[in-house]
Amino acid sequence: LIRKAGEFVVNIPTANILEETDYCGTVSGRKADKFKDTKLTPLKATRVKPPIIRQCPVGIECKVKNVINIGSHDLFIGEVVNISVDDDVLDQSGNIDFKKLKPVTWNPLTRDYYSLGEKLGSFGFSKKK
Amino acid sequence: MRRNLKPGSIIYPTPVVLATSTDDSGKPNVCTLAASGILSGNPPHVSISIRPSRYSHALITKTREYVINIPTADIVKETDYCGIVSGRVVDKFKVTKLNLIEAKIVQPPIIEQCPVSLECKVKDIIKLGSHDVFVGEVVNLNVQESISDKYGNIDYKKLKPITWNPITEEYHSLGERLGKEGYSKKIYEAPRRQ
Repeated sequence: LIRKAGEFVVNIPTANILEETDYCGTVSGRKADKFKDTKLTPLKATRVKPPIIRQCPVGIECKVKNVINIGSHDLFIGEVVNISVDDDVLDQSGNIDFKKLKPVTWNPLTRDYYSLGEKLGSFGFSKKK
Repeated sequence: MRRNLKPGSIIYPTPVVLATSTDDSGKPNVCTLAASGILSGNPPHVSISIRPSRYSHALITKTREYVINIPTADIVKETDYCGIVSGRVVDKFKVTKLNLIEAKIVQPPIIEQCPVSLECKVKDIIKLGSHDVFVGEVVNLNVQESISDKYGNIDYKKLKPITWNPITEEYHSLGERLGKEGYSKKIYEAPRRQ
């Protein structure tokens, strides 16, 4: 689909929709209607045709610039043409509040999902020490 | 309600890695990178993206080899420091006391304090504006013996990985385990059969 349309959206999930996230990686859209099964809600994007997922606080709208074949996977290089964020994750000044994003990470060694832990330092903190 | 922000490459959280390289004489350098990724499983390929102005960019372009060393929460200070000074003016290994050991296949060294190191040979360099992408084939995977459990498998708890948050520019540890790949299938399979 992406090869043909030349567009995709990267939607970043939260810990609240981990079940839905896992499911979308274990079945094929050729057979299952993943939106119907998971109740993830597609919303219209601003600059591209593929939809944004409402339950994801950040949706990154991309246009494909290059497709590179690398062994078992093809790499789709996308230029970010718009970022859609949920108002709920913004602070009073309109900046993204990281605490509200509840991100999840993937560990390819043990094939587990993890939440984030504590803050260990800010960029450049080592210079003061 | 949603709103649009200025386009930016803000996928979060991202890994943070220490990329080692060498100059013509074999003298090593290291830099901290937030832009690294898995590209393909077989044959295994990964990527790192570096600004052309960085010293590591010049070294890796020339030698076409690098090692991705994955740091732990025990060396966050060292990791941060290697990302804010240049190897052209500072000997980062001397300042941080990160120890080097010889890699098996490539010339750039492995950092002893990093539990996992991926030795890579550059297959392609892709120019993308502010950064160039170095596509690397993983030719050897070097791990500390102490991170394996009694069956010889890697024990993730011993890796103490850290992640980088490009939105607030902060380092974070990992939190609790939330699930295993495929755990949702039991939950969704029942309704699909109806």
